[in-house]
Amino acid sequence: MYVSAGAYSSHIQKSHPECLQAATIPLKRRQSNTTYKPNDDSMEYLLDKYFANSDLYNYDLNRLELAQICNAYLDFEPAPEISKAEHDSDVEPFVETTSLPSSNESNGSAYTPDAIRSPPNQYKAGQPVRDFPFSQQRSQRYNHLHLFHNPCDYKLARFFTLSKVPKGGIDQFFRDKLVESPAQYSFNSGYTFYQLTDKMADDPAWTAGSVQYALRLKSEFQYRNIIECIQYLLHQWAFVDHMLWKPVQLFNKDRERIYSEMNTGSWWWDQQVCFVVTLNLVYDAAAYLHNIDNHSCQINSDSHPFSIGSNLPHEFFRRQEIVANIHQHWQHSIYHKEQTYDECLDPAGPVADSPEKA
Amino acid sequence: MMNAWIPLALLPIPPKRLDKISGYPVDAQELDALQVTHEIISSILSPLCNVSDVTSQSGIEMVCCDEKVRNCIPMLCGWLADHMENIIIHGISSNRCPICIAPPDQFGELSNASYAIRLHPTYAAAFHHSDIHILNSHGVKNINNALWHIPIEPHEIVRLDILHVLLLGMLVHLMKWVQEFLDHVGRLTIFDHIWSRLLPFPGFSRLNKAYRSVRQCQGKEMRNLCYVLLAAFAAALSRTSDTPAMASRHKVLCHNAILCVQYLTDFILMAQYQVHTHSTIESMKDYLRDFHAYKDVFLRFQASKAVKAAAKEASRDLREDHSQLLTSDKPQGKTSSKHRKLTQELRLETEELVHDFLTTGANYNFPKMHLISHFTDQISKYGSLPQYSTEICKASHKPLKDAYRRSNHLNAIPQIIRTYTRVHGFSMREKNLEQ
Repeated sequence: MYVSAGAYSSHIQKSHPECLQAATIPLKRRQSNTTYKPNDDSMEYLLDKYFANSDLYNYDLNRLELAQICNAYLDFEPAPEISKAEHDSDVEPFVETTSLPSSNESNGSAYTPDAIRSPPNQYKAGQPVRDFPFSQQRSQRYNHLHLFHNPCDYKLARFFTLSKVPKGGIDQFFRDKLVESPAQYSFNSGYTFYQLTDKMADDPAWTAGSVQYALRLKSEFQYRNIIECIQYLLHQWAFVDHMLWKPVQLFNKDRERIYSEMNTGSWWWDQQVCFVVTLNLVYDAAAYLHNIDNHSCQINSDSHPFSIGSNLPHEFFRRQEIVANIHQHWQHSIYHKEQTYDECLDPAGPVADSPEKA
Repeated sequence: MMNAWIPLALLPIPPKRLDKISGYPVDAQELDALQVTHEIISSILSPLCNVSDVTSQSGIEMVCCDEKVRNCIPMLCGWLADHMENIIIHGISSNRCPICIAPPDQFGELSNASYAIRLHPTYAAAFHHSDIHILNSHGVKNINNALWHIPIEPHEIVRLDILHVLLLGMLVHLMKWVQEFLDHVGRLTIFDHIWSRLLPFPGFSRLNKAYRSVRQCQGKEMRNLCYVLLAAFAAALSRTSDTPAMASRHKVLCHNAILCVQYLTDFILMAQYQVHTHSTIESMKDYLRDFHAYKDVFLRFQASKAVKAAAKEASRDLREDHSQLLTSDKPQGKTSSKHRKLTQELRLETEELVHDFLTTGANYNFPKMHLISHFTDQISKYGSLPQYSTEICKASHKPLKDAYRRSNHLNAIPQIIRTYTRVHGFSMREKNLEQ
């Protein structure tokens, strides 16, 4: 019937098409304690199988209905939409759940999640205080190429800078009169060019500091104000499509949590959504992490009273029962200042652990 | 996006220790230099102490690029550094983990229960009370750490680095083990032959030379060879067409070695995923556990030079004894087949002795072997790992290095800053105009 591999393959394809299709199921890498579930590719295969072999093909069914039939047939439960009732009990209820990501929220990741959960509005995570339209801060005749008169002027300066033309080279350029009308340029030598570009810089200024090593009397270093650097970066219009303003929780259709960008991890969420109590302690006593009512709390003992970290609203903190609850835990679980040092060194003493592990 | 990273400071390089100062030991010199470094870091990060103080709850209003004003409380959320830089920043000994208090002699084993995280407030208290014992027991240097003064948990700013921990760390170790293993079983030449004849495919650049003939590989090259290592290794071990058959005692070793290579390369490849789910994280945990289960096949190649020398000496002594035994046996009229059998037995005995020597004196207790156990935890907390690789930082250093090259190298720092500022200003304006 067949004398070669090709003939055998053709024979199998004609006589036993299901075998050939079974061989196309993508092999999935081993996963611990998880059973194999069909992914999108295998779903396509199942649909194709039904289209090819089933009488359903003759009926006027759309692909979604067929997918549901396939799923029921294979005892494969499709992922239902995630509702706040089904979510983990240790996380507070959520007010906003979207099934499809907006264009901004999916930025930076090639993966498109099936569901996005955002923090409740009460936490004000990423929410602006007010608008600040850049166009209203400028006049109608604002020159985006400020300090340069025209595009040619700007482009020539850009060329000199990014092409690393030395100062002598710029001087030579103008001495050789390589431009037709030098008057339209705002600089005509290396010196004036550097003066102009130095004025153009709008990034935070550098400050000089000095330290004294034991083996060297004076060592200088340069640094910038870290807050000004943050403000500078946040202000740059070029990053508007890449900025992530708030933490999110992403899920796929199997209700699995997806981790990609920094704002999809649990740390950012914990910082802005969890209930954080912080007291400062550096020298006088030790500190440890402690759980109060399933909230991650970092408790130290110097700067009483408590306050709430992140951007929790003040109204939330003023709820007396919460304050009382914390105070009660404080009385029972926090060591006194005199005992702190010994107790914190006790190996059987409190051990830090993350809220997830707890 | 390259311009999203801007330099915050240009730090001085502390002077090297001088051994010949009387009454000023080397340890004290190093400690003082580290203390000065922390004072510099403290002065740079000091603005965060006020605004990150959550007790004030005031924050700073900042104009954002989407034309909104937000109330921001800036926090130090990560510090991208390799292991040795983390050592300096966290003020700990070089053979310690900056995240947990795992003992250095347990770095080579995968613990079932995670070790307790570092409690820096405890160290601050110990420093204040001059309790050197506690600091030494946790491998903490006796300095006033800059990170104690800003409202963060220092262990939370550690971001494990794919470049140094995996590509230039574990993968380099694995390649060394693989090379020595192939040499041990007599397949190194075949491996080189296969290695240099791999065909290119999309995402993989062809390797023109044998690995052992390359003096040093960059991170990009190590990532490239990670794709094909398992295939080349398995092919070299299973090739039978032009090589003698594998000795039966080596077959089990080869099987375990292939599995060990597979699990570690799978772990490294998965760690570079841009998107993770619970399943991929669990798979990574499985790969790591299986790697630890099979890694003993390479243990003998972790032996130090001293252990190797001792093993060599012991085998030489044993071979001398064997040669005397064989010489004394021969006149007794044994047949040649029996003599060959005796020779083989004695050779096996020598090999076993060397193996015992090497495995007894070897261990996997180096920091990177332990650090890979924290990778999966970091993904769920901070997102996928490639975004925290120091490759980004190193690329950001390029404009500063270029600026140094363009300077006259005399009092270079102001020139570097001026040149960098001009170039950055133009490239930033370009990007803003494009947007």
